[in-house]
Amino acid sequence: MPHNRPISPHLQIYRLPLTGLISISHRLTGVLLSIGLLGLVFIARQITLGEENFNQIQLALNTLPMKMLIIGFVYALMFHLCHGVRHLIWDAGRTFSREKLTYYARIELVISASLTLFIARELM
Amino acid sequence: MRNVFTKPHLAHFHWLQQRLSAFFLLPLSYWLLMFVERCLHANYSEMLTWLHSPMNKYGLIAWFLLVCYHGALGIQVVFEDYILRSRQRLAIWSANTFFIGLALCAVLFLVQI
Repeated sequence: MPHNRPISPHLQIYRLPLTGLISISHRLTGVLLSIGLLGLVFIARQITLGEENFNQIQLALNTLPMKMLIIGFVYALMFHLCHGVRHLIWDAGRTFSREKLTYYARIELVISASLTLFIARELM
Repeated sequence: MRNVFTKPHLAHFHWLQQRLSAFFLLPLSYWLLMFVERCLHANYSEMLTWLHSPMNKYGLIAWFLLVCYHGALGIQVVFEDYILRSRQRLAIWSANTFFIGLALCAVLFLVQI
C-alpha cells in the first residue's frame, strides 16, 4: 500500500480560524501567567525581608527589560481576562454563530489591547 | 469520556469551580494591579501602609488564593488534553503541588508584612 495518506492536521500546518487562534492563546497565556506568579510571590518575599530588599527589587523592576516584561504580563492577563469573559458569555449559550464568533474575537483583541495601553500608562 | 459519563458530577463540578473562580477573579484583579503599581513607584513605608490596610491585604490574599486555584484547574485541563494518559496523573499532581506551594508562600509572606 503506497504511503501517500495524509497525516492528521497539526497546529503548525492547519490554518486555524481567529477563534481557534484565540482559544489556543488563551491556554498559552494561562500557562505563562502561572509562571509569572512565581515572580509576584518572589516580590512579596522581598517585601517581608525589609526595606533594603524592597528597594533592590524596585530598582530591578524599573529597568527597561523588566518594564517590558511587566507590560507583557499585563497584556497576557487582559487577554486571558477578556477571553474568560467570552467563555462566561458562551456558557450562557450566546454568540455562537460563525459571524458573531469572528466579530467578538476582534472586539476581544481590541479591548484587551486598549486595557493594556491604559494600564501601562498608569503603571509606567 | 467514560469518567464524564460515569461521574458527571465531577466534570460538572470542575467546570463550575473554574467559572466561579474566574468570576470572582475579575474584580480581585484590581488589587493585583494596585500591588504592581506600588511595587514600581511607592517607597517602602508607603508600600507597608498600603498592605496594612485590611481591604488591600485581604484583597491581595484572596487574589493569590483564587488565582492559584483557578490556575490548578486550568493546567489540569491542558495536561489532560496534551499529555499521554500514562503520565497525566504525575503531571497533574506536580502542577497541584506547585500551585498549593505558591498559594501557601503568598499567604505566609503577606500575613507577615
